Amino acid sequence: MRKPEFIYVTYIETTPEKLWEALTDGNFTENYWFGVRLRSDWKVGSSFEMVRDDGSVSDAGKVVEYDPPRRLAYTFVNLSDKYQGEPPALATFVIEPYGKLVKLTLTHEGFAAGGRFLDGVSKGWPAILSGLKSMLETGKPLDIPYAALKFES
Amino acid sequence: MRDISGGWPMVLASLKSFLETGHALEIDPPSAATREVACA
Repeated sequence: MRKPEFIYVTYIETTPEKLWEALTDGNFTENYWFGVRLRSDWKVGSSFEMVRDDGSVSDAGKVVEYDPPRRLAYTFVNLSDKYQGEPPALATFVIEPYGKLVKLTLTHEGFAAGGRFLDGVSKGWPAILSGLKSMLETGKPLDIPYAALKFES
Repeated sequence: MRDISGGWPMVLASLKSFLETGHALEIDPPSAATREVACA
């Protein structure tokens, strides 16, 4: 039986370097990631955190791979009670030049069987990555209400 | 199945760009096609 995973592929009119910056610079991520800033020194094995605008940490894990501007991987799990006991899952971003575009492939795997975190990220990633593409192509963030994602309480 | 799984991410990414910027993505693919299993 295939392991549960989330895969997302999109094409963006940008450069690998700009996409890399957009995925790793907290000043940029807060524009398209529901106000979240990513915080890490990006050394393999270092901590990785998603920080809300009030300074609290929503998700945490570790940096697994950092190979600019080609491959970025980190683990994380949401720290709220509803995901308690679930392991950090591995998110891997692969950036490939595609003619005048850049192809972005996200694979998120390593979820607990029967857990709820896969459902959560499956609702969050499309909104986040759609906002990322809009930011890079238009300079404007998408205005997606967080409540529209309909996360389970 | 394999072919349409590879095609939809490009089509939907271009659709989004067209709706937001007024122009579609300029698609000039590399020679080796790759397979994708999810959509933009």
